[in-house]
Amino acid sequence: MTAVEPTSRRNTASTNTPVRAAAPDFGRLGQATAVEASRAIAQVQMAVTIAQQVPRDEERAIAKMRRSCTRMELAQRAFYSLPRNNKAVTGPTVQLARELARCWGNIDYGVAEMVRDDDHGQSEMQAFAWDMEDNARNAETFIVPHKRAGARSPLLTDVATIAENNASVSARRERKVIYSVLPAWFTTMAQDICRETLRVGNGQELAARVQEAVDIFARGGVTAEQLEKRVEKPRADWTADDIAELEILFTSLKNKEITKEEAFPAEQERVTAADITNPA
Amino acid sequence: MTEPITEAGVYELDDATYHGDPVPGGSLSSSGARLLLPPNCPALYRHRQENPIVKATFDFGHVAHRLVLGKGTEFKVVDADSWRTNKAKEAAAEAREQGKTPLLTKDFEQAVAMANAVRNDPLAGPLFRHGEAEQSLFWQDHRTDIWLRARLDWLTRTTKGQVLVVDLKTCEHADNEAIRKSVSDYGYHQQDALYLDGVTSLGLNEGKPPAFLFVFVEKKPPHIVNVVELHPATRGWGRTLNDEAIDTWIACREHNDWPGYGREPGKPHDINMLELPVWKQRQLEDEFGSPTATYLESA
Repeated sequence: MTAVEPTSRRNTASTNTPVRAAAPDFGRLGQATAVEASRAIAQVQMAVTIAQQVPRDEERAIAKMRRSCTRMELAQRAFYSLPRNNKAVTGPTVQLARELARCWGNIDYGVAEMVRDDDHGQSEMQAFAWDMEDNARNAETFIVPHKRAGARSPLLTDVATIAENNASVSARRERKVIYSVLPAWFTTMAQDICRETLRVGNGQELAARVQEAVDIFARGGVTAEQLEKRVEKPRADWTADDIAELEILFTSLKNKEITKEEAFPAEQERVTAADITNPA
Repeated sequence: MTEPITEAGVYELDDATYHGDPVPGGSLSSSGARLLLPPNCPALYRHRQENPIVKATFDFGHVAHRLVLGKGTEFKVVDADSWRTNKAKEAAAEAREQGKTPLLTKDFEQAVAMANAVRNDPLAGPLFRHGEAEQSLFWQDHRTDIWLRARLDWLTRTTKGQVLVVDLKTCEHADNEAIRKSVSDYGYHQQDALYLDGVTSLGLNEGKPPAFLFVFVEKKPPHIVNVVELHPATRGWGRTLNDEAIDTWIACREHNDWPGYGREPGKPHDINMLELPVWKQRQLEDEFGSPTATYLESA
């Protein structure tokens, strides 16, 4: 970043990122930011020292994670599903990532807006996750245009809308960096437990849970037939795993990660050989 | 030149009228849309508008179209082994004067073999038995109101009554993998999406979703035929690209600027900064880690 004239409308956002301890050299630096920068340096040094003096107890971390993942409240928010090529892909959410980082311990993570550049309509952001004990750090610096997804979005100018847009774009990066510093086995184990939590549900009989799922989707205008097509078997044959998958889908629909049309694509009949060879 | 077209609908037009664009304010066709976008550019589109291609040499595709669809470019068979003799050259010139495409006996025989392969194919054969060839569609884009046009090789119906657009393509290889690549390289998914949008926009489908089939036939014996339908998601990407082409077309017309590669209409000329293709970067990163810094730094 080159120095710019002081009249520039660029400004730094308050940041708790440890990599940028030195104050940036552009624009006007507010007093609060300068204080915050000094404080951040001290805090980081202390955090590392403590992390190394009080290393994590893996058994305790697993126990904490297990306790969290058996909670329905977390399990329901642990997976997302997004449309890809007419199919839904699912994966662990940033909410699960944050919870796992907390359980694993000695991890500093977050998202910082390093520069907001109104002139060019973009923010420079960084998502980072740092295992202070093992000193494994992953950071991704990226640029978020002040635009909604979709090429023809107008430039956002409202401060709150920009912040909201930045946050939603950054969540995916934050998710990625946190999972990259957590041990893969820990994440996999957590996902398995969350799935099991969803599978077991609130302890009701399977038939009752199937009916409950059908009823909940019906309120959103999704028919039982559409559900059966998605699960690829009739209601009578649904298993607890199928219910768990529907639960994930329901959360994603609620969060608007996937639309109803994407989750339940309209029947597009393919042309068959019989359609073109049998005389009309 | 026939009457200008100012009303949406299906028209019977000859090749020259259709390609000459009979819409007064101009209309965009599928091949035009594909010329506007990468790997092509608006400058190429503009050039093609101003210099329509006159095919002097014969084209298998055109002859096969004529033989299978019964419509299209007219041709005249010249009874010769090659174009080298004066007699053959004269015959060719004579054919062109009559507005026909000259072709040699051996090429004609090959084209006939291709057409026969299509007619005898268990799927493609029945497809071309009933239907209408070379219908020209004109309609306005629902998003931008600009005029669009399409010339359908073949318009027919399935036995269930579903409206079916069929496009005949000649190719070197008709295997599924080669076709996937052609779809991507030549934007056949854009053609699929645009034609079906035209059919829907003009209400030819009577409320039921129309379908699009491609009939690929190999140029070389035994002229294997492959009938394919593109996945709805692939058509969806085609529609995305068509929208992009339409926006580009509008912007180019507004600025009266038809840029070459890597520049947007109305934007100043600039030098393009390029990187290696992503796959090559990955390969080098795997092998060497990171790029070597400038020599000045290490000196």
